[in-house]
Amino acid sequence: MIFFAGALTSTAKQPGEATALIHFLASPEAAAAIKKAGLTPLSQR
Amino acid sequence: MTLRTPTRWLFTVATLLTASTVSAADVHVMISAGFYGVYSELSPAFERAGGHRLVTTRGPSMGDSPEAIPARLARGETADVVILDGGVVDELGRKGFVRTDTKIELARSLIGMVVRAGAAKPNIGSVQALRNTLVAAKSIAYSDSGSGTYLRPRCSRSSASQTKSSARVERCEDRRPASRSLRLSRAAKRRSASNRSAN
Repeated sequence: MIFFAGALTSTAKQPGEATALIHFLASPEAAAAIKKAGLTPLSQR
Repeated sequence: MTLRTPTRWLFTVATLLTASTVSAADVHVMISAGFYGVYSELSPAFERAGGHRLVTTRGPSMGDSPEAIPARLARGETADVVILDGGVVDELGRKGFVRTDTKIELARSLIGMVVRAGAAKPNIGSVQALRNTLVAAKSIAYSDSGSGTYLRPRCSRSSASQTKSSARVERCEDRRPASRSLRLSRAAKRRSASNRSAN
């Protein structure tokens, strides 16, 4: 079993938008696309 | 005064334009294969909502290839975000490339197996059944990323001595690790030679 994760790099030049992207991909809004890809979303756990 | 008003107006417009250029930034993303399908489906919505452009670099989470994300970061390629195997995020954090305090898990992934068309469906219902199937197989192919890393210790006893290579095909036996390889990296060939001399 593998967990996919997102994180900012130490040198991120756009930390605000980068954080927004990670939060978006972890949000319930992303769950349907995650399921469609055969993965298990964690936002609904 | 009549001349200064339009000048001030132009200045305001210029300032607004500059501000909008700055806020509509490029966000650089490095991402591995497993989550890429989800990312590519959702990224247009993110770009529309924020007015930002995602610039994407793809590469494996781990392994020897120069495209691997750890290799890219090690040689100075930059990004704002990495999306890959969670364990690798921790590792990259220890090396100072990634801020682990910003790590968020996105999805859980299971590993699949396929066999040649027409072959019997193998029993992989338990760890032991999976192991028996692997040991009995004439040859197997596995990735040198997350799934292969999981598989390798279940495939042979002396896996600790094995090095990673890309897209390796090898025989999976109890006593003789990597006794037959269809494609080997130089490191793997050296390893294979040293295994033979050790045996």
